[in-house]
Amino acid sequence: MYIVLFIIVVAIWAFVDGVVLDYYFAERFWYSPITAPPGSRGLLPPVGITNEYGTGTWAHPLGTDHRGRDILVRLVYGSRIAIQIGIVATGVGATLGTIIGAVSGYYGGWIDDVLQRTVETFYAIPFIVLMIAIMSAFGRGLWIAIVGVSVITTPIFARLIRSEVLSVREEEYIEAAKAAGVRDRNIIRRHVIPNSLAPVLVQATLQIGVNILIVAALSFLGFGAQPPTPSWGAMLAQSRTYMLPDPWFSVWPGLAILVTVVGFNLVGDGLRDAFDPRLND
Amino acid sequence: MTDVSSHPEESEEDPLVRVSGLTKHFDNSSGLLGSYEFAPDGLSFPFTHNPETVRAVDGVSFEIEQGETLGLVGESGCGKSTLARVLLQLLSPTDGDIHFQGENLAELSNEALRQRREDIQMIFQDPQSSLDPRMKIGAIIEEPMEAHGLRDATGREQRAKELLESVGLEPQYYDRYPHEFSGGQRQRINLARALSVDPDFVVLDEPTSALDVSIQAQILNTLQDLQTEFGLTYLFISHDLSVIRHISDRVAVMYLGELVEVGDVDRLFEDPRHPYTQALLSSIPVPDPRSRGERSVLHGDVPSPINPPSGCRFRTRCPALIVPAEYDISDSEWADVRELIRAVDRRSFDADSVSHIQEQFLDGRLTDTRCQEVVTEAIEHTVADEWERATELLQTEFAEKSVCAETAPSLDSITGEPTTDRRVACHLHGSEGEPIQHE
Amino acid sequence: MSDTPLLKVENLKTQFFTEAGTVRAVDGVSFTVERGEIVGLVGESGAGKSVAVRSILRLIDSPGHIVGGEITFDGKTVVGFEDEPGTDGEPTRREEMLTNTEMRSQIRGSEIALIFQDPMESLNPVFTVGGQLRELIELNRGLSKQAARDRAIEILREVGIPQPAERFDDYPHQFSGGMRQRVLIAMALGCEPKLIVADEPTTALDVTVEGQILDLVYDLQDKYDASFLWVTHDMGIVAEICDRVNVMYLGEVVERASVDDLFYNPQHPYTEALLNSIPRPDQSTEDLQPLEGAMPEPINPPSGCRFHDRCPEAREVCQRTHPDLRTVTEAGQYAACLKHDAFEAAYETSRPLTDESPAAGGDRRE
Repeated sequence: MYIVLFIIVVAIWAFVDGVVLDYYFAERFWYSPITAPPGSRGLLPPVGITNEYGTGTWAHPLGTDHRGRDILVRLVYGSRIAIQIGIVATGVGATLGTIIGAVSGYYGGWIDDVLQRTVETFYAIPFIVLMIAIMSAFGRGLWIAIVGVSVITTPIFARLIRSEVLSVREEEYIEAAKAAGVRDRNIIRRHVIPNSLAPVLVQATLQIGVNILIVAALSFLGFGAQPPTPSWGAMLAQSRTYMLPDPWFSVWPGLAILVTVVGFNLVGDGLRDAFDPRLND
Repeated sequence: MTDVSSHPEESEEDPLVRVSGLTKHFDNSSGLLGSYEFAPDGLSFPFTHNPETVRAVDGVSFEIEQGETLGLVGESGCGKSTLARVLLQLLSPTDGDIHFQGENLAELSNEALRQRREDIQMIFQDPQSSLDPRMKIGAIIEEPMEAHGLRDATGREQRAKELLESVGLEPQYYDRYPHEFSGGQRQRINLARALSVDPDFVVLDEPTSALDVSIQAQILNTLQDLQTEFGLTYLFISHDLSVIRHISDRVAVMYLGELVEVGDVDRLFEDPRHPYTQALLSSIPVPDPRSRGERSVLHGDVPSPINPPSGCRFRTRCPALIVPAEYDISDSEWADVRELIRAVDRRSFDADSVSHIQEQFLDGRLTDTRCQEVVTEAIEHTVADEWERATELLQTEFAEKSVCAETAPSLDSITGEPTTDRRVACHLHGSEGEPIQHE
Repeated sequence: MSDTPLLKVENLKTQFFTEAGTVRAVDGVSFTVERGEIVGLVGESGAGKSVAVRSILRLIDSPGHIVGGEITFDGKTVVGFEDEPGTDGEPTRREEMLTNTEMRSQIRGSEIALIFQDPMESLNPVFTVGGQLRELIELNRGLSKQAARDRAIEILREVGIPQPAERFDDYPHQFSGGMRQRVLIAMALGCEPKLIVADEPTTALDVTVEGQILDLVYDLQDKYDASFLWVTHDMGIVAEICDRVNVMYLGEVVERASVDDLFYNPQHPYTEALLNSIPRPDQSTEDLQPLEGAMPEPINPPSGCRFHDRCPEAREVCQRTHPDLRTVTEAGQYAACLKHDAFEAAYETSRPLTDESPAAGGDRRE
């Protein structure tokens, strides 16, 4: 129950936070809302305000970065990007993976061989290398990053659901549906996928955390969201130079990544327990 | 579509189902390269393509008449469940035809076959796993109707509720989930699902073997009632001879992928002709303490279907194995020799001296001198602790020379039987009429 | 000494404490096994047969607990509780009751052996069959390694394993189901126990193999003079091998009789119904008369006689009075049914229930 609530809150936050930011943080801590269009303020360095490394003030509770931008505001904006990429990329990957895995597991034979070998090929390439290759080919940017992360997420789900489908496929109700003359696509849709989905939900939640880490790593390397878009990984990268004079600059984005990833992992663990029939009985 | 049946107006004598030469072999290896074997011999390419085939069903032919119940009985692993699945085209046959109402199912396209399933339904063994745990009873029963586009949503719901009643359940179970029901009730739900499309033919694969006896009796009664009510034809598969006897009109006995005997239920049970049927019938414990000890027992296990025995597949366990034509020995001597063969194969005695073993197994010297020579040689091998040579010698000299090992008996009608319906695959009842005997 | 039965179970109660409530799986069961006897324990699934025999070996895992009764085996108290519960309301163990260590060292395997339904479950797949058997004999009989090996091969031959010396080093999966069951019997015999408890040992086997195993049991019983407690649901097997039979229904023994009396003169309506519902292999049965409905859950058993809601002979008194197991015939047959005079329950004058009982679950259609 709490898990569902958490996901809903996170999802809503990821898509409406802009409004909150614009009219709350921006007005209070930054500069006049009149001078910049809504939505873009957090992206720009404040004009005429000196840098306040580390030392929090009421105006900038977490301090400002090397360009004098408020770290708290950038962290909150960054959370939007991190969570959006995490959820969207995982969602796309899980959907594609589920379809590929279900078809592969249900039909078996050469279809299975072809799909699985393809999936394994993707699986075999280190994901960072694959991502960098994708972004070098198609350009840098948030959406390319989402597509890339989806591509590397798909095989994980394809393999997971295939193994699940292989056991569900042997259940007599699948055979019963076949014998009754139900079409294959309806069998997959109505029986196979719903009965194989529980581990996918668990994995998806865990994967959101992993994907947030991947995007952070990419941004750190400069392949993720491009400046001036605030992202946690990029903030970490920028903070390296200021590690000694201002350690807090590195600590805050690092902490943000940690808390989010651990949060999603806890949700995943919770879901796993919830789906485990041994604990439910 | 129309050229499939040359006689669209079916003559009434045609059986509902006619299966001929149905064969299903499984490739036992898995994966892309699974059937390749690595055997380096230093000379040739070290990988050989060597698919291991399991001959689950091998050349099975039978017919089922409109409105009757054919019981198919056999031990586990004999291929009866595979036969059912091939018959329903859930597995595609390696060879053979399945004519249903004059139409060959084996030749239909996927979509045509799917539509044909409206008339053929199946009930499965396991009441736990044959219902999707995430679907409500109503949806489960309506699914086949939906797949075949029968009725509208309200019509389907009405029909589902009617069916729940005719299989002996309450219509208000419509909105419940399968886990709320006991095994017997689930099997009734299965029945309702199968009947929802008004099939002509229902294949029942061990429908009661997971149920307690009192529940089994309820289901058997319901099955008989429904047969009358809906005019159904059943293929009833079971390993339980008592159930088969109770429910069937005709019975087919299966052993290691082949039918060994087919016939009317009472005649088959009262007067079994195939040695396997005889053994099967006499090995069941009868629920009557006063007929205790009347069982006879078949030795050994069912051989592997990967490499079945040559000739008659039952010959390795057959108590009535025919004497090789070249030997002239009496029945009792032949029985002694076979006892010796078995004992050597199982190494079940201590090989101390030739004369002692001879005494232990044989009643004096054998009349046929050639026979005696072989036996003596074999016993000498055992005394020398060369069991494998002894086994091999006895196999090639005795077992392999029997007509049972040389030719496979075909499923033929028995002469002297009033109906041609009674068929047995055994050399003892050859189509020549006279049992082959030597003496 | 020889007058006392080998195994005596008295008023055994085993309960499972689950979230949904207390499951009274075995509720006051009593029976005996004499020396050299094969006793049957018959009933449908859920009747509590398996729990009862596992209680004898004290193999009940949490949430299950033996909460009352007394089991004596060969003069030893396997289970014994004081009549009065202790100060904390929990049943108190009597002093002579064996400790868990004593159970392991003195009873299980060495004195009472258990044969399970699924041989694959009781053999360790990563050790050879011979090795497992040898180890068992070595531990329980105190033989040297070589002597134990010889004995193991001898027993394997005795139970009909072909080429025992060669197959000694095979793994369980290399044996067929029937052969595995023979191995289990060999393991049970390995320590020459006084009692062998067989829990549906042939249910997973084919009829021809089942016949082989039954014959084997006969021969071995002759040779070793072991007693058997045979749990089954198959009346055919009961008729074939048992000397005396206990019929269980919903955690209770409802009838006890010699095998002949049970089949030809059943005294409890449940036994009768059970016999009427089985098709016969040796004759054609025109109509089966099954019981209506299914066995209720032992979590909330019916009041009075637990069988009354399915019983064709139930009367009003059956709803109120719970019958215990009493002698009902001169031949010493026991039954727990109020229709017998021994109960003096005014059964004759009570109103029959059958007319108004709805077709429970509609199992018999019009």
